[in-house]
Amino acid sequence: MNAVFYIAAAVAAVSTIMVVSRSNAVYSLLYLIVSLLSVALIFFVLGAPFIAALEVIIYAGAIMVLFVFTIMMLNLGPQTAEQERKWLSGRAWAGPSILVAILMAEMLYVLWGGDHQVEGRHIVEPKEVSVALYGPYVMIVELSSMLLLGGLVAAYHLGRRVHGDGKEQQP
Amino acid sequence: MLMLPEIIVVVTAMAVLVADLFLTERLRMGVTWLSLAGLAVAAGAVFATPMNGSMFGGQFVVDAVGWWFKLFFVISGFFTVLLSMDLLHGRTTCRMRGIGSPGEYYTVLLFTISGMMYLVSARDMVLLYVSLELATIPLFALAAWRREDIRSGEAGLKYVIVGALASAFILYGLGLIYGLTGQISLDAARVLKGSPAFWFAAAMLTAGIGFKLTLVPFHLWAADVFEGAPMPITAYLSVASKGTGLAFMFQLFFRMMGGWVHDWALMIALFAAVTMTLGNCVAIVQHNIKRFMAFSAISHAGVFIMGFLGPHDYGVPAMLFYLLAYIASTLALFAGIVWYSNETGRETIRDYRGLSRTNPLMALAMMLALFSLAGIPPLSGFVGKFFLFSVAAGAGFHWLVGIAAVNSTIALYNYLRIVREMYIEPVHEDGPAAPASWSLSITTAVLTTALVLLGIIPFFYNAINGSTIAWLSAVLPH
Amino acid sequence: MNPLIAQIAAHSPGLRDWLALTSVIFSIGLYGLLTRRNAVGILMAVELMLNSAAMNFVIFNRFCLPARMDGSVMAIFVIAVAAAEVVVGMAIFVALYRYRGTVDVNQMNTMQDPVISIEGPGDFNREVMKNINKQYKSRHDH
Repeated sequence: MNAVFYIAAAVAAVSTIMVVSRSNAVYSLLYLIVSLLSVALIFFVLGAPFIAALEVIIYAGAIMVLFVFTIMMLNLGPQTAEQERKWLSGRAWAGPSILVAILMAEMLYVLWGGDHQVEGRHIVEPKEVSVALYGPYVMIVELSSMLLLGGLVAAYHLGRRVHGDGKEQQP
Repeated sequence: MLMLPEIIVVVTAMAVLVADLFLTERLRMGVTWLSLAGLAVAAGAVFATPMNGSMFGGQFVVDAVGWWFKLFFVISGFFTVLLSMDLLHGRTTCRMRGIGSPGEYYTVLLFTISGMMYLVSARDMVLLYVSLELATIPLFALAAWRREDIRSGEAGLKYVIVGALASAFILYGLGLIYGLTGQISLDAARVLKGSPAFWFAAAMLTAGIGFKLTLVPFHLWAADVFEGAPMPITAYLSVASKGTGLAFMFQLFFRMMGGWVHDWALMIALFAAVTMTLGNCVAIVQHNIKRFMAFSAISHAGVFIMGFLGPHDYGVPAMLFYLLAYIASTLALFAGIVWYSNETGRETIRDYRGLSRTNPLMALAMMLALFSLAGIPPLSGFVGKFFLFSVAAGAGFHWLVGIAAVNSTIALYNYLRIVREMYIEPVHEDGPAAPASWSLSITTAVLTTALVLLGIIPFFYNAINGSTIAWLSAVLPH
Repeated sequence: MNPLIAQIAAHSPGLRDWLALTSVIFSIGLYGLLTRRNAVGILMAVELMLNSAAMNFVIFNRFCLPARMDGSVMAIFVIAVAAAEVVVGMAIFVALYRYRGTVDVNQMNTMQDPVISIEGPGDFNREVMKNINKQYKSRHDH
């Protein structure tokens, strides 16, 4: 059964590398979806099927659709990819690579410290999560709904077009 | 009802959003009145709430420190609305296009204020993180509010990227702390000490705080965001965003990792020294008043974090008092800057020349605010700085006090540059024609009086000191 | 609960393998954030980082305190917050694109610190000489 985890982890790592290394935004978006799906699988293996479902529905579903729309609206075609490639071909990648390699090495060193194998795993069932969400955490649910409303209102204002005569048009 | 102030702010935000739909263009001012009334009532509600108590099983707790922070957030929100109203309703001589939609603007502004108020009451990581995001994500949009100005959009873009990066760091750090304690509550982490994973989490959280509080070397976004944002939002960023950063740092360093913060003191002192010095030195060469204020805010962040060096009952009142003095001085100064930019559309320091002859009262108020920021004796800025310096000296960081004193001199030179333009240089041939509107006049008058009184009358400091000392010695072990 | 899920979960590897995975994803996301020049690409990298941090919470919840739901709830909130962040970010990018025609962060340079002009001693002397000459002349004009 360990194989499930290792394969999913390998897919997640490789697709994540592809996300940051592809110069074409559409390709990296596709890899991002792969990465998110493999993370969803990892949540599943971890015994949290409800979070896995949310990951697929909200992340790989809704948020990615937003990305697709933006990429279409911003017209990030071959020209942008060319710019990105030109930029990446220089020595510009060396600094970030070293930085991130150091960070990753440090993280691995720190986290490798002890192995906490726990017996008798517990499955996070949707019911329990929902009870927690609408029991002790109900205030924070309201707060996050305000956050989303605030984001929506702000996006509404920013997305409105302004005509030459200064009159605003509904989107 | 402990949560009354937050509820009032949120309900006001919703009411503004709904009212904006039904008000005609002629009655559009109604949303401003509604926001002002809501914030005034919320300030009253803060006064009415007791200084201790908890709700939602200890998730939401009000204590003296949170009480003062909430009051400061509501006050700065109130004056930000007063600063914004002329610009939003197009009552300026220099008409700036694209700032419009007052209803949405106030809604988003009120949401950020409610986020800040929840932030200081949070006692678990979930509420802490969500309220921090509620306080910052709508601010990204406010920075980019002026759609037609390319600088505004650019400021929004930079702010989004840096803010998201900071929140990723904070979230990773919080995750590690959660793993170490196994509990989501902030209080559980106070016993932690020493393990490599803990140091790593602390470093990540410090980086996240550095971004939020514009500590050097995480300050690079500040100048561009301040310059690109609409003028009242620049004022709001320099007071409320600074207050949020400070409240967040307080929550993490004193509340969550209180048993450990003394081990980190040298690091904080180094951050303070570098931040002050770099902020002041880069401010010397600035021509644009918004960028100048950005670097002024950065150097003040260095002064603020000196409060984390001393013991809890000593640093916190000093920090809170200086935050109050800083809010009063900065907003009083920004009232003048907003007025000048509304009337002429210009924002370089050279443009303020001869202001003392064309508008002596405004020039006087701005001079007092600048002197307060520089720390000239009878004014509140001096008193606040004095307390913070004495905290650092009491903790044994005499070298830091020396650096801070040198920095005060550089800061004095910086602020005197503007005073010199206003009082010594010949009158600008194309200065502002109209006097300040009533909203800006009220802001200037109230805040200038406040910044003088705060320095002269010890009542305010005594009130802050008395209430917070009682709380801290009761809860935190030394 | 489905016995298959329980079986899979009971045989999954130890904590450090999981943490290694999240740290790898976080680091790659940071790398992407530092190297991408397109604002949309940067936002994708940020999503990766947030995602790995959310994973941390679920992992610790499973291993350290399986009886309480705190970490899983936190992960759900992180997803909601990430959605709000993306909404605001995308709105800003679209608004910016409309006036600039690009969201390349390399071209976001309309605001800069002024260049410090250090006047050399030659310039300084010339300035001083000019002033002295002027004063001399004005004194002898009378």
